[in-house]
Amino acid sequence: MSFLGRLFDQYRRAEGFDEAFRSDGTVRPHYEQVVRSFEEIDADELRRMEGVVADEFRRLGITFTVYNDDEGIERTWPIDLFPRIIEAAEWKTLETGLKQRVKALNFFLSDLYVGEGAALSDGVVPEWVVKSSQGFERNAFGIQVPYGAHCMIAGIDLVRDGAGKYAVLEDNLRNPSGISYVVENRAAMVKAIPRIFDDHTVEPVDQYGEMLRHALEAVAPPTANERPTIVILTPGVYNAAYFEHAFLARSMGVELVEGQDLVVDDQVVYARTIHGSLPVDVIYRRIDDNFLDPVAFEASSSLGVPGLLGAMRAGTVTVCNALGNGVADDKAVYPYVPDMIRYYLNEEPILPNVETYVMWDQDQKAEALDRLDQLVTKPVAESGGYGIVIGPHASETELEGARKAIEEDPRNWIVQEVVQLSSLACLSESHLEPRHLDLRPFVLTGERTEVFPGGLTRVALERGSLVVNSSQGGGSKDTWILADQTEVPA
Amino acid sequence: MRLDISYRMNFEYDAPVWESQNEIRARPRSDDRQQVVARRLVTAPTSKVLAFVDYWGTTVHHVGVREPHMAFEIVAEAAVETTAPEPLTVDPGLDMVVDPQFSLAHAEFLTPSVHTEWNAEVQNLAMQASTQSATVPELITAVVQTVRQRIDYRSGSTEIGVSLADLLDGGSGVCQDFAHLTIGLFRSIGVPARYVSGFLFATDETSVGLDEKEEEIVRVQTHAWVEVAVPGHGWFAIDPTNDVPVAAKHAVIGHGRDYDDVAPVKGVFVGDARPVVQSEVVIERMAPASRSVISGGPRRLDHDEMERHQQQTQQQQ
Repeated sequence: MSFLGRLFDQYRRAEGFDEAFRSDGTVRPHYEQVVRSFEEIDADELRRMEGVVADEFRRLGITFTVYNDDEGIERTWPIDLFPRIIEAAEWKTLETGLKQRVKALNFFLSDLYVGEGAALSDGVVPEWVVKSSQGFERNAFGIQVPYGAHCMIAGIDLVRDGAGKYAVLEDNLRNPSGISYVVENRAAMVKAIPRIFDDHTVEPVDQYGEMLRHALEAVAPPTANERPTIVILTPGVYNAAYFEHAFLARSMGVELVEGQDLVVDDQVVYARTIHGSLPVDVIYRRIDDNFLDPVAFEASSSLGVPGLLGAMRAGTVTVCNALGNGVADDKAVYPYVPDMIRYYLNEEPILPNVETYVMWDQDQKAEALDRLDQLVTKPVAESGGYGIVIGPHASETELEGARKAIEEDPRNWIVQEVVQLSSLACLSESHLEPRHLDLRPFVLTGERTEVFPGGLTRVALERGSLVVNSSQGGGSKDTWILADQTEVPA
Repeated sequence: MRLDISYRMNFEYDAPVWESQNEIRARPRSDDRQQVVARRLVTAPTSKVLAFVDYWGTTVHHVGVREPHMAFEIVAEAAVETTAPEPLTVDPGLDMVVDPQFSLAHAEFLTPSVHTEWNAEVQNLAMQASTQSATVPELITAVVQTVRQRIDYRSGSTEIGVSLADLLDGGSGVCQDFAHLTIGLFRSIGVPARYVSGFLFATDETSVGLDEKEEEIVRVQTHAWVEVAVPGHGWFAIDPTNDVPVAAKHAVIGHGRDYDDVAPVKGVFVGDARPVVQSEVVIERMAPASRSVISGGPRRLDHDEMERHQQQTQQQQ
């Protein structure tokens, strides 16, 4: 079929893989219905719908913060109404690959912090790389985690190359945010264009709270009763993701607390309530490791709970995600994750890494420096897209700066092949244009490891841009996982 | 040498404080060189004590007092049998200590830490010491001499947190300053060095000449010294405050990158009060046969220490 509707009038495929359109312009089967629906809508109508969604998000306080020069600017969450659709069979593969990766990462964290450090002594990951990681947390040693679920909630960022092949761009194993947007994007879509869902069986996303609660209950310490007391620990209203913290507390039916609401007594954590002290079994914390406990960490932190690490060591409380996960999502450790999968699981990785050069290997460094204008240079310790130099888009000065930085501190940089991210139609002005995007699925580990059926699709703001981070001004899309129809009787 | 050590820390407040939470690193470790034969840790007000071994192998006690209190006392007692460390019998050249493989194996003791951050002056001093030296043992001697030329021991002259630059400007310090400056010099030229916290059986930090026949009991403070990684030997201990070999009179609590990894007390409390801290270490040298100093006699407390402690606290209530 051809582009009939006015919205598609000026649609020209971008470089790389288009999620909805083949190179000959025909529509991929799983997008046919949605494309047809959009052909019947004109730009004004779509704008009106976007207005409905934006008002709704503003009313609900669904916002995020863009940081620039230490100054936070609060923005309404931007959503594009053309949905991202993933077929059941494709999702199955992603699901298997994601579970495999997170299992291996959890094995690594257990091995490192409560095991023998076998991966280090066997040379799977260089010991010095681990020990020089900012995320390597010596205070985590000896703290047992039920089921070895160090990373109870992981957000794994996936991208697709020119051929549509998925690869892992980075792992987020500390406090991955974005799940609330997955749920709210769907709610907004249902409200703004309900008919778009006709003739599709899309996996629901509104059960996330229940799924998370189930996983958190599973990792409660043995001292907890049948219905463990769970709290969400937030840094407070000024945090960029505060909306999400409140959202998760509401959807799980648990208390949202700040550090000062909790107190430790004889290595047990209690919540201060009007009915007295109530023992807490599981803390889903959304504050960073080094703010968790001013006794073990920075004594000036007022966000944490004094003595919390003592309670964690005594095994009376489980803190999720566990301490020290940052070592496993350090970009300098990322190149070794495929080998972790082979080492711990004796399996070949289902989802590959993006091809990465480590700057502490002389040969790899020489090759990367030689072609830096064709590659992406990333600082290992930053997240949210800060500090990245994209070779093909960089000026000679920027490239020279990157070269110098690499020579000065090779441990702090990795260099990757450019992945020409896949793209999908987004509304721009009065018509649809392709924008590059990625996908962050969420993986939960309690008694078992499960992948939440959905994910956060983030889109770049500008045509041709490869930066999709919301902190860099990107937007998002509702992400549909089509249900497997094969087992449904006719 | 059998040393019976009683380490008493007393915090007094000028107004009530509450919700005190603390990590204590005050117990000698057991290793190839020294064996703890009896130990006890008590607090007043009483507190449930959680003992654990940290990343560095140091025994840590986690204690807290939730109720309002005006004073908090911690007493850590231990009886330890010590021996002198192995003397240095190798004489590796300087090239061996900066070999890339050796550096990678000791990476965490080569980077600056909060208390060992060096400036150009520190590095220059270290480079001068290194040009005078052909071998690692010579370098160790030269670095210690440099440190001792640049700062004098003066009790109470500094507080923890002084930078190496300020130490050189001020010209005096206490044992942890000697240790940090020595570590800074070594690391600035790529020689792995680590901080050691412990006890020294001596009348004060600078009088290690103490004869075996002299005083049997000394009243001191905790001590700090340094270990340097020597190729072919392992960690070699030196005491830059005294410029003497580390001997059986040195009982180790633990080691780390600097003071912060082995601080005797790390803690916080709630309340608008200023603490007055008093601490004292009493070390008594015992005849090796003696086994009856710690109240009730030496006991093996290993895994059931917490239970034992609970029993003790119940008796006191």
